Amino acid sequence: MDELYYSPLDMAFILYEMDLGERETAEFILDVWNHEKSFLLEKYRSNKLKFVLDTYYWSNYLADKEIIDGEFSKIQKDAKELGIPLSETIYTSDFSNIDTYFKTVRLKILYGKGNKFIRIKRRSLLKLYGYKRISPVLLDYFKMCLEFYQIESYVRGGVKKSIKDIQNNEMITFRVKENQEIISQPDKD
Amino acid sequence: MSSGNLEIKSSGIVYPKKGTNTRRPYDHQLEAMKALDALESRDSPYSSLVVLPTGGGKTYTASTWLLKNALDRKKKVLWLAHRQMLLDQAAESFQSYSYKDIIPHISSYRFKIVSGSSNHCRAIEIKAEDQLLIVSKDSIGRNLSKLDNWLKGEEEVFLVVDEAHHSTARTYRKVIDYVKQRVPKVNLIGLTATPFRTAEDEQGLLSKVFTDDIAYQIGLKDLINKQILSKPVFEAYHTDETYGEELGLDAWDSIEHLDVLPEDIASQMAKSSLRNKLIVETYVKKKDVYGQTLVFAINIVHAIQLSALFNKAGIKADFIISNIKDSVTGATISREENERKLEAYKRGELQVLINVNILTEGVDLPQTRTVFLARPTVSTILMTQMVGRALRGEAAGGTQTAYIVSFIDEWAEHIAWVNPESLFNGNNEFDDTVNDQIQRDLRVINIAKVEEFASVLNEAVDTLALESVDFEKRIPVGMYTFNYLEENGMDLSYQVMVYDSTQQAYEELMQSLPKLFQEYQADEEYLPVELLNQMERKCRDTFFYGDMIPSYEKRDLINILKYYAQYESAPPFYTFEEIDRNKLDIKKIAQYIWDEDMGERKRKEYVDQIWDDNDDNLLRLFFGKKLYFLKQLDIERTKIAYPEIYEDEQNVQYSHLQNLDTLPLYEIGKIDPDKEKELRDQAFQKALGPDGLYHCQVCGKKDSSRIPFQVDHIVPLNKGGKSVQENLQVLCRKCNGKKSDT
Repeated sequence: MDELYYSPLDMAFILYEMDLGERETAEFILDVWNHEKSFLLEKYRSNKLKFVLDTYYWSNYLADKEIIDGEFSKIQKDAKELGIPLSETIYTSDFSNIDTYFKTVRLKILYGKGNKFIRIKRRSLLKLYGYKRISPVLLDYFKMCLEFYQIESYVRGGVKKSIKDIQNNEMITFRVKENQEIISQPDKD
Repeated sequence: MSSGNLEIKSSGIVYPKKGTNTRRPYDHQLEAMKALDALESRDSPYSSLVVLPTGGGKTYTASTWLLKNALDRKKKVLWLAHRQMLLDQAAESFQSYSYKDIIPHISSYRFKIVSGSSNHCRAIEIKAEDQLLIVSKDSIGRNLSKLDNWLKGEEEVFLVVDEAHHSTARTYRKVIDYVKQRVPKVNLIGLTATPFRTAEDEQGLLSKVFTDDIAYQIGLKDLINKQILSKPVFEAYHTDETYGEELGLDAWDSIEHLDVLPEDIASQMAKSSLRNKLIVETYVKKKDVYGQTLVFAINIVHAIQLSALFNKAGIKADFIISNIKDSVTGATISREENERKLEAYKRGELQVLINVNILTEGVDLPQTRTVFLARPTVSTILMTQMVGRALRGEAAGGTQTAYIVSFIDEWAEHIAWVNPESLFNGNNEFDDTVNDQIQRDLRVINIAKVEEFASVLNEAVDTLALESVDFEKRIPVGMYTFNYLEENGMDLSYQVMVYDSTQQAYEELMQSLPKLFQEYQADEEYLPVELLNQMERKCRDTFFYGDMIPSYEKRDLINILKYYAQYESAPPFYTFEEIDRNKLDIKKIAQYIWDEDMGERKRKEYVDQIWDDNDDNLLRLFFGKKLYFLKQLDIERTKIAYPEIYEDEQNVQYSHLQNLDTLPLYEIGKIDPDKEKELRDQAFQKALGPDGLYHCQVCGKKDSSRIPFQVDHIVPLNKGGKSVQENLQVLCRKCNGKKSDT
């Protein structure tokens, strides 16, 4: 479940896709911090500075992964000699298990400057996840994500429909649920 | 130390060698000798320096001149140096050049090497009949009276200080003064390669010791221009091998102090196929550039393996080793075999000659264009000798350029390996443009800043206060840069970075050093650790309190104290005024990104452009790693985008504080530096009399400096007293000590 919460690396992916200016980026991060705290990884919920700095860090990392990966082992070695341990997992990533599609949908709709909905054909959505045919496991995952991020799926004519029941060639419209329920805080462990 | 084919004993009689010395001095060496002749022609004593660069043959020049002008005239010579290896080197030089034509008037002379080493004699063994004493400064500094008999009745003595840029150290001065007080004519000769590598302050000190200034000086550049030395080109190849991961203290000690690699590591290095492959391939790739090359190997196994690999790669190579049977390999090579191989190398039949420390001196191989340093060393002397093998310039039958090729391993433990380039640093003759100067300064700063940059990356280290200050304030304004001698004879080079925040405190400290040392009765060259710690704490409490970010480092103060203990002078200050601070001020870079409202892609483009700027490379040199630069840039971006964020974070920090007044002042300072400053300043304000002096509240002792005083709790904390203005007073150290005892 932890992977569903927003991490600064997710934020970096989302910001990269949105390609906002410096000021809008700041505004966007602030919006997320102010309004989406319960969706953030727990360690960031009470530390705005860390959330901002780590989001900036991962934005740099996306742009300069090769250089930073190359430098990190040397930095780690120097730091170790100085008695300052640095964990590789905090500063590098191979981007495995990164799934930002639904995370992006929610934040784009809520704090992006464009439409308050996002459209995609169910077939295209399956493709994004590397599937050609319907997989019940994947559909369960989509359903879990939509529930977590409080996103509803609609089909033509504004009809609300479960993602499981939508046809493959149908266009889906995602909207963030109005009057959202308060998301429960995850357990500390 | 290797000593060629000559065995150095610690005492004995030297008889003149038959025949004539075949080594002809170069012009500059003759000129140096003539300059000494000119001094010698005076009746009065003299104190003068001879400055010859690395490779210039200063030991040879001085020893041959002294053989002729002192020992041959039955005048005694006292040769002082700070390291045992320098002593051996001097003794070897005297013995090597004791030819009949140089010392025609004497049938022999007695010599003795005195140091703390088990290979050498003790000071107590000095006899009046010894004519040449080669002595470590500490062994004689502690036993000056042992010179009494030796000096008794002498009218004229020659006193030589090797590596004379250290002669302003307390023990050297003590020895020099002692000898001068007992002998009417003391001719003091200082030998050095780099007498003026530091600021003018130190020059001043040196000229007080060497009152006749410099008898002769020639620079490295001059010797290269005269083609006596070749121009060194330094190359370094990283082996990507790591050694010393489980280095014990004894092994570490053996490397650091004896320059001896533990056998297991030496064997591991010698047998590393990747390391050996790199050495051979490096040569093969540039064989036309490197030309005839001497390889300094780690041990005999290494020499044999490398020789086989070079030959396999089509390079004619051989190795020479000591003629003593090697216990590990059983290899025995006779002197004749070595001679045969040396001749083959001289004739150009061998491209590469591998050796284990035996070609450091004594054998003339001028055609050597390159040395491969396949063994690391902590010894500056050994490094000088190895590098020196390739430095013979064209006019001296050598080559125009010398390639000094190092193979650098990673070491799990910090070991002070000598970088060959550092031998030439003091000369600064090759790269003397302002831009080069800036680049050197930035490299020094970068090394000093790595800890700070790495700390910012560590989540467990609280660097909030540091991050909060303007970045410009984190760029040092200058540094105190100095060398001093550790008790073990090693040279320690140290830099203390000074910031806007600490500049005034350092200036006050420097002015107060004499008083501080007087107050603590610190009059030894090497102070005990406990005393150093007490004095450091005193400096901290007197000068380095209050909100000071970046702050001072305890180790910086300790090193300044060690330096002062040795030289009784504040270390010289060097400003970074040539550095364009604007270009390093990343707050301005962050502001530009904000003003231009750059998107992700545009920002990357801009950041890459300034990072890759090849005109001056300032950012690269200052930060060293792009990650460090980006991290600091993010901090500045954050401050601009969310101006309140750092203040908020710091408020959170302070909100939980309570009962500060139950803590000692020093502890208060860790939490609220401003509060500590306020309390200390108030206490001293109360102690300030109408005469403008501070007064001890008990005995009335007064002084203009705060150094002799301590802030005392009238009612001690452990008896319920508090750290509040009303409960604080100023006492002198003595009264405070008495109070603590009761």
